[in-house]
Amino acid sequence: MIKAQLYAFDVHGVFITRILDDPEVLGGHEVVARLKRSGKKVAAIGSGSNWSTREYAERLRALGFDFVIDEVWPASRVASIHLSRVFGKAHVVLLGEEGLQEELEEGGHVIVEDWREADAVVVGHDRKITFDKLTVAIRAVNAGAYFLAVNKVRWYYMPDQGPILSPGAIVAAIEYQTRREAVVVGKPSPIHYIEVLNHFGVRPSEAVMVGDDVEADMTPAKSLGMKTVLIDFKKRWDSQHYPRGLVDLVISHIDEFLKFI
Amino acid sequence: MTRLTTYFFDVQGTLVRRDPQTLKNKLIAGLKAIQHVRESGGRVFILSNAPRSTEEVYKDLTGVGIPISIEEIITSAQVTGEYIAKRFGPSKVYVLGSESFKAELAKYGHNAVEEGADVVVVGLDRQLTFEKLNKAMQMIMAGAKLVAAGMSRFIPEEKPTISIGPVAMALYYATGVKPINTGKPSRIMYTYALVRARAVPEESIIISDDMEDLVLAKKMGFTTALVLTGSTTLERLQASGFRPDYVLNNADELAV
Repeated sequence: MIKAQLYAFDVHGVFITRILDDPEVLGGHEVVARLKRSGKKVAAIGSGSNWSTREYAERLRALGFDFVIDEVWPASRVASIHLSRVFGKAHVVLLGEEGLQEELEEGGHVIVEDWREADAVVVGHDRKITFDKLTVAIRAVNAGAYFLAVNKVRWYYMPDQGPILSPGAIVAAIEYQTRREAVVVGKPSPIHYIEVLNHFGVRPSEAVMVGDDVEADMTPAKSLGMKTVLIDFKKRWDSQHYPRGLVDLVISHIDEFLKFI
Repeated sequence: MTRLTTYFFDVQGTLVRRDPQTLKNKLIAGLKAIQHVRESGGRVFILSNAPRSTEEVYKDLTGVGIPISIEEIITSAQVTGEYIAKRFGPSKVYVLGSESFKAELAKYGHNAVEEGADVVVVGLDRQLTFEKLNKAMQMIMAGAKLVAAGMSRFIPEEKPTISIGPVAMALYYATGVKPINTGKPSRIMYTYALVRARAVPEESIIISDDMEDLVLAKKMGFTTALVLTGSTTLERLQASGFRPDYVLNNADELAV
């Protein structure tokens, strides 16, 4: 049995397939429902940077998962909270799409176009990036603005388009240009997990992380002292290796977790 | 400096400076130095990192009065074109860069394409978009080579701008394929310059305002002269611990 107060779940590869925009449902509805019935806290943790919490919650609910906004934790949400901790309300040069903008504005931050006015530069997934937008961002970082990466994902896969360049590449460009290193808030950054634990007021030892990715899910959760459950598909193309002790339980499908709660 | 026979001059920050407002070039120094070198039997070459056609670079230099022939101009665009031809043969190239750069690469038999490239070439693209970057990434993932005509962080004389290096690093991060640097400072470009000039490093000097250009040059056995008219200040030089052979207030001090 895996006993905890808070059950945190990676989303892609756990509840739905790893494809971003049009995923298939894998399962897990009953896991979430049963945990909530028995008074446990649950959280969905996604590294996505282009949806707001509201959009992310709506999508999960549309796929039949009983998550309310309070329980939905995309990296964009952590970015907004992190900025509030550093600045209160920040003036932000944003390389990102509408969802991230909505999330930041929801948090009271103001998006600016002029690099001279920026307290912070926030980099998320942005399919409308241009030479000029990138240049504004690096001028702000060069001038000393706080440099925040929502995540450092290299690429994601779209069935009809192939691999799509992700924020990590843009962050790497700015890091090279400015010789500064971004503060990454999305997982595998521990900041993502700390904010979730903090929100629910749960100690790491009282929390469990369920995910399908050793690097993004298991390693940071374990390093904070959380329990870890790995969903390991036998057919995964990138068979994962991990040190002894990193993973407390291995299952092959999210619904198998019902036996352990 | 009598033993020196071959003088390689950097352009931006050494001979000319671009006005950030008008983007027009202005002469800083170097006319006297070039004249002096020629009169004492030395040879002069230009070593430019501009990923553009040689004709354009020539026009810029003669436009501000620098006495140079087109044969004496060596650019990262030439090096890129020749390197790709030698290493991979005449290639289908996807160029993140200007039409002028594509025209220079075409001289070496390379065809600029929008699909199915053998080599992704990073120059300076002021019209860079997500679509272009994404396409470049997908081509590299499908097996295309990655060549960068320089790894510079800055475009000289402008406020920080996305230059060649950061774009190459974005593609490196996304794909894990390391860019081959065919611009300054790289052994590829310096070796090409020596072959073109039929010179050896021991008899050659590189004059530049960019300390990083000179660090590699010194390692390769060139004599090095840093001019303080561009990106390197005396304070930064001293803090770096690097010792060029000469530190000059401007390039014309070579004539003294």
